[in-house]
Amino acid sequence: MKSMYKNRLKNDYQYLKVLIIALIICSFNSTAILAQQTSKPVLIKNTVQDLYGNPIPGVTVRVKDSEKQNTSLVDGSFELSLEQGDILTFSHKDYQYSESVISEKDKAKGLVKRLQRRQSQENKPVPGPYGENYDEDSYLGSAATVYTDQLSSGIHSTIIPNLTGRVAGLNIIQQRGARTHYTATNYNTAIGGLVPIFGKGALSDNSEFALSSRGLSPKVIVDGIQREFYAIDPDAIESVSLQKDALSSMFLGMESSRGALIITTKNPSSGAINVSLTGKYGINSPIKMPRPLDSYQYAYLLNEALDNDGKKSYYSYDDFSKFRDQSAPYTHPNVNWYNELFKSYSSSQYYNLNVSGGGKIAQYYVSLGYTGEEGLFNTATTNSYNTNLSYERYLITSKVNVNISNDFTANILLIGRVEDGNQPGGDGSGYSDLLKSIYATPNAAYPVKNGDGSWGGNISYTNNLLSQTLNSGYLKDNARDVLGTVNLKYDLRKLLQGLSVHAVTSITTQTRSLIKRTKRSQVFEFKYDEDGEPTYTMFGTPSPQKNEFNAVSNYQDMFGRLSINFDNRFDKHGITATISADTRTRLIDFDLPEIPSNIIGTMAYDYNKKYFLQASVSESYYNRYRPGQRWGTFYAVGGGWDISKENFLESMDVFNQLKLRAVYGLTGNGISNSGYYIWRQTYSSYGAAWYSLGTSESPGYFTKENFPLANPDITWEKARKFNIGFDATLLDNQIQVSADYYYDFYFDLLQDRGKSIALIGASYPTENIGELSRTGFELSMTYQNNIGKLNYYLTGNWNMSQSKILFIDEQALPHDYLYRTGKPLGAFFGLTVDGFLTADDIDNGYPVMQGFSNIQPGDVKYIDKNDDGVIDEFDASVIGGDKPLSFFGVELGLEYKGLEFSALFQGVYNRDIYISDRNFTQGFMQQNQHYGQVYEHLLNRWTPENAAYAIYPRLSVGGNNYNEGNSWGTSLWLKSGNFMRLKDVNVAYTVPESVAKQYIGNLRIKLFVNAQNFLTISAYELVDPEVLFTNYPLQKNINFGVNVKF
Amino acid sequence: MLNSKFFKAMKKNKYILSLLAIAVFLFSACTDNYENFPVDQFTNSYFFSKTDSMGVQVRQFLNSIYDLLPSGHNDHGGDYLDTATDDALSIKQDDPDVYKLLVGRYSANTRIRPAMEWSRYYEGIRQVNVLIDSIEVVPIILKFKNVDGEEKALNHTIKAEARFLRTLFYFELVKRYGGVPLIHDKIFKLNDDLELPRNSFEECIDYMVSELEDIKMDLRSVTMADNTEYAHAATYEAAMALKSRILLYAASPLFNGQTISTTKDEQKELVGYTDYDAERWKKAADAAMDFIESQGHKGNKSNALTKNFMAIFLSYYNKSSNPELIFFRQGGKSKTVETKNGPLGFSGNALGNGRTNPTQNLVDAYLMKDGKLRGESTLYPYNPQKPYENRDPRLDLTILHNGSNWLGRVLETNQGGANNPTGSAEYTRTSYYMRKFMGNFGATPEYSNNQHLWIIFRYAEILLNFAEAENEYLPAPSKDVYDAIIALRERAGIEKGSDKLYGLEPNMTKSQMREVIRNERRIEMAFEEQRFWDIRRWRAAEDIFSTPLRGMSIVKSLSSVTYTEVDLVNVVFNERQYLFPIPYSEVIKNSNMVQNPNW
Repeated sequence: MKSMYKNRLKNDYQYLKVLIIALIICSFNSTAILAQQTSKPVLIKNTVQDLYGNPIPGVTVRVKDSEKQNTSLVDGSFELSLEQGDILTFSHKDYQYSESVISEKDKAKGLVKRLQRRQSQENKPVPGPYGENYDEDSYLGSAATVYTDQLSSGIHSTIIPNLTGRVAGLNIIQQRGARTHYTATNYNTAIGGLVPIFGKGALSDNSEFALSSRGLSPKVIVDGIQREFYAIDPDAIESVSLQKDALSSMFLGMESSRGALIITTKNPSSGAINVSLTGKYGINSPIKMPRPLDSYQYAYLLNEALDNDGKKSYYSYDDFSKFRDQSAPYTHPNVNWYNELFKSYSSSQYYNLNVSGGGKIAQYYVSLGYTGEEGLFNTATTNSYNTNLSYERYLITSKVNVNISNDFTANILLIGRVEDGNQPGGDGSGYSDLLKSIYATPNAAYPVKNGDGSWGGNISYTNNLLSQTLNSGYLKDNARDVLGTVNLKYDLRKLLQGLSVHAVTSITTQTRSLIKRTKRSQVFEFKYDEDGEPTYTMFGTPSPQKNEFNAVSNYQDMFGRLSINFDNRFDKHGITATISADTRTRLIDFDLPEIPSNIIGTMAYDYNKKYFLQASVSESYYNRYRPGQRWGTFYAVGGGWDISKENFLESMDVFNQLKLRAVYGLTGNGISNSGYYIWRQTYSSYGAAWYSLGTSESPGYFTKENFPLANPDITWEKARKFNIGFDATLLDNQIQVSADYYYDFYFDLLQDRGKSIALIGASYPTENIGELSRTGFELSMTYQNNIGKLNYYLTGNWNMSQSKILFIDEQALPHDYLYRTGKPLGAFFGLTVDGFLTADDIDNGYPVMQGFSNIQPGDVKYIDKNDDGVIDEFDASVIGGDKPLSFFGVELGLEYKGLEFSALFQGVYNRDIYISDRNFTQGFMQQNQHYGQVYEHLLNRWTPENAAYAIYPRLSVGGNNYNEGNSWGTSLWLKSGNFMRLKDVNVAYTVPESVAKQYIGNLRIKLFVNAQNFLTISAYELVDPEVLFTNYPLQKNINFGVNVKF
Repeated sequence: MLNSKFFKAMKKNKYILSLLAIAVFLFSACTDNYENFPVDQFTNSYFFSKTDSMGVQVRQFLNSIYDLLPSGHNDHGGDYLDTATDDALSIKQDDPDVYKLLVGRYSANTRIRPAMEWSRYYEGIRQVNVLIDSIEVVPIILKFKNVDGEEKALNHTIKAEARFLRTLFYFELVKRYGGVPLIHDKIFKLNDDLELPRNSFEECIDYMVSELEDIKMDLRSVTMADNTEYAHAATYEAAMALKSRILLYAASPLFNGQTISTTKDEQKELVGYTDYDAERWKKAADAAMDFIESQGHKGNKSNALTKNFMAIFLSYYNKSSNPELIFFRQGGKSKTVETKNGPLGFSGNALGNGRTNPTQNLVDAYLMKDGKLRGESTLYPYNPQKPYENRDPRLDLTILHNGSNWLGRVLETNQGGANNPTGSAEYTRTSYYMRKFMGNFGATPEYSNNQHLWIIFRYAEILLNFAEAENEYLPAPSKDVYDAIIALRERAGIEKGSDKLYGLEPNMTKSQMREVIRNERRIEMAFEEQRFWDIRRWRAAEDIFSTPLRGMSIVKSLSSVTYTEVDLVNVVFNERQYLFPIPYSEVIKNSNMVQNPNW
């Protein structure tokens, strides 16, 4: 039986293959077919096009003072019988309203109407997860959508930077200035940073940004396929929509708490062949580099610090003078390692070629893109290979729509990617180690090269930083992936008006690998020995080049979905209903497959598009929960009321739309935090040589009970989410306002129990016990208008969110201020600093920490919160991070006769950061037998002379735990993380059509300049508010580009 | 007919068919090829299998329990625990863990592990209980012989070894905290009531001793060195040695007579015995003598002092040349002890990080060659400018000092000397480095791999245990007490002297002998994780730390070398530090958990 079934399957599969091939062939012949099929006009064919001749579907064309009207089709055509002198009105949400008077010629040959695009971002349909747009009128959820060319501004490996500040409720913090090079399996995805992820992380491209929406990172959906943030050509993206409420994320089933970031790629355009070629070249330079002390100041401060600690001086007056006049560069160097290792700017490039076209039967879109970024590291011309940080990506995207029959449409998407990263070998550890070392190595540590040309170094610095950059080989990481999606839709209107069936299937496979070619050179310390003879001492072990190949990860994802849709209106009653089932099989390395699946039913009803009701239920399954506990039910209901449709408002003619809406639902957050079959108590066997046995010390194989203990009841986290909001459109779409308030109550959160008593002899599993609430407001507003030919818009979004820990099973604590319950998630706890200790304080027995024998005037003075005479962990209270966090973005755009300008400001307030890097806060950290780097701000340290206005405590060497709060945190280093950036500025000029036609063979040329991160205003000046310390620095960049279309 | 019609109809609806095909393709997701559950994660029945007649899995399970045994080499944040005593300092000046331990910068909440370990031992106890609970089903056919030559099934000895380890874990807890909750054989489940009270100190001691008595005849008595497979295994002798140590601790002042003062009644029976009883010293002395007379040098000699002090730490498996070892934690070959603790000033394969800096206090404790204390010898008067001449040979085998031969060079630990780069971030704080445990690298130019197992019990300790307990029990030291110390000094290479007393005075009083024994224990067992606990159980830490920790400052000029002793660290020892605090989290989570006094 089974084999028969398999045989059948095989045949069916063959059939499918033929079908797909047929579809592809079909698509290439489609223009010809189009020509044949459209060759018998009944009425004169008129078309609506944009300024570049691309057809605009969906334009409502009315004949003034008449009943006659029609809507333009996919090829931009509309049919109307026209008379000379008729006045036609053209209206479309995205294009400026326009009128035309029909001339005789138009009547005879058909009218070709050109419409100008509106500039603003809003007022678009809301994209649904599976390619269909939600009807904007009846959408009840909370969505923020960007439809803009600016999604492709700048040169980035992901589109996330372009979303920053543009999407209401999507909070983005950039954590590093370059992506992490994936060099090992089992990394955690950074995008999931706010969701607990156990075991193997997913395989995202995003390792630079922390994304969150209402406290969780959203799931990413690309053209109906749930994927991680993989590379998509920014030029190929039509829209990005963040959907935050329970109803719109219900299709995620068990992960519906997380919200959805729905990315829709551009659809093929129909008509004659369209070719678009874009080239961009960018120059990047780091925004903020740390400012190290020069050697002379360093030496001076080090002696001061040693003296403070009662230690012997390190440098003599002779040393000082040599540092000051730089007379002995080999024994008394002054090397700014940032300058030695970094160039002042780097470059990036982007090219995209896309071709689209087609007719009624089939349309295609094929795009070929290249993105290349170079890093800031210096390179050596003597190397025949590249040691710089770099990133190169080729992307090929092909999308084909085929109308196989009037009822049957197919859509095929293929994306292929080749991605190569490169970084300096750094002795096998790559560039991140290098950054850490640069950060910690003082200018006086050692010369770059000795007088005899050998690499400088010494016992503490056995690997020369420049040698590590130029001379230690390189690491190459590669990713290859392919995505194929087939989307089929069969319209069953012959059976029942409004009924259709929809099937999607998709396969993604991805492999990542790493090539290491590393080597290392020894270093030499130059010194004069006791007799004054110059000597060179060798340190470090040189190693010849070693080559290694590592498979990093292997990933495969198959997805399928089948749905039956019904969508119809019965007079004033609109009914939409969908029943769908989807399943996916995800394989990562050797793990057993993950098989999340959903069965979802959705029903929507509206009365006259005035009153709306919608409900959705999801039965959701995941195979890594315990049998019997694998299915969960989630639901959401919503209601809406478009007041503008009521007579009393309709007559006022102010509101185009005024819709109140509310959604309530029960959602889940599972799968990514389910662990790997952690409901089973298991034992593991470990390989060789754990506890060695016997005289031969042979490998003692090793088996043990796995910890944490099994949690047989593990299940998904849940939330009751409530969202209320309104959308208003006023004054002929000139003003759009959308506002939301939400209250989300999360429960069954996976947390450690309070009574985790160690006597059990094992670690406790996380259990579904936590409770948390999140509330917030989100607001977005747009105003757009024109003054004659000057079009302009101003759009802004703002959100505020606050969380509150309701239950984390805290045990009894001696003081109220120690409890985390009731406080916001992410509040910083620490000791409160009240200036610096004076000699009097110490004499009078001002409370200090116990066990520190070297407390002196100039050390930090902490407040003894519980008045028990000592400073300890019970004096730590909330010192920050507890205010409602707010993100905002404001964008202004102008357009005049093809000259465009836009500027986006983005910022955050009520944000706190804790600075914990001791190279920065204290300096002189011990590095083997030397002391590490110090930065300029520490010149404002406490000294007896400036005790009154010192900013930082007295200096000390090797790390002073007392001044650092003894790991309990201190308000001294809690800083405001508020900032505002001029994120994006665009200037573009499109050569007017008239010029193009006359002089350049109808080439449509657009020239543009784009600048990113050009201005940053931050509350705390010393570091970049987002990218702290040892991470690759954030950059500002300026790009020049050209786009040519024909 | 019908068929063709059907196909015609189907052909018409080929689109529907293709849709169906896709649907079928999708929903038959090809997962048949995978297991239902991860096979690399086994369940209990696989581990304790009814068919595993060789006990392969069970023995591997036991290995994981052995693995929980601490290895003391640079184990405490990179330092030896002894660097938290008056014997040594860590070279690290950025608040290493041992420094915090030394000065008492810890609390119930901010604990320093592994010195203040708690949960790891309960983890070990749980694993033992899991093994005991399930091993009976495993039909192991292997046999072994116990100390009396009786043949027993291997099940018994695996179980007994596990129980030995459990007893050792309990002892580690008791010496840190006093009485602790006894779990016995229970394996707790997630939702069991775990708010257990602490058992009294006395109950804990009784339980441990009875456990050892109970299992000793189930253990092997193979001399480890003879056994290629079980060299690491806990033996009868190990159990007896543990018993000796337990009873010695139980009889010691901190637990017997001079317990930490407390006003809370519920703490009194936790911190020690509530009364003093001299018979406890007797028990301790008997346990040690029992060992000496059965397995020791007065008995069948399966354990005895190794002739050469140096060889104890170099040869672990050669029973004839090193009969002193009783129980150790298996290690492996490496040179990490050398590279971590070797003197500064070398590079490449001779690189040392000078981690452990013995104090002048310890150096002073070493005898002169004739067994007299520094300054008390008439034969070898102490010359402060040649402080290392004519000293107890153990000094040179334990400590590297200025002038020691090392790696083919003469060490220069004078200020700014080649091996003491004073002024840089790291330099020896005392002008000394640790020598013990290292291989013979006096003349070789660089380090090579050496065995560095961690010795948990060796025979010298049994002698010291005996001497101490017997001396405390009797009104005046007996000949047996003298003999025990003499045996150690003889082996160390102390000169016999005309009275054949190896520097001991005849007719010493009990308290004079106490000082001798304590000093002998200090120098014999230096860096072996004894001193830290000894000064506590003697209740002597307050006294010992009343003098500062000292180092040597050596200044070399063109013509001369000057040695000056310098004070380095003052430690104030608070009475509450005699016992560690129970982890704060354990106290707040468990309403029955009583904290130690003044924490």
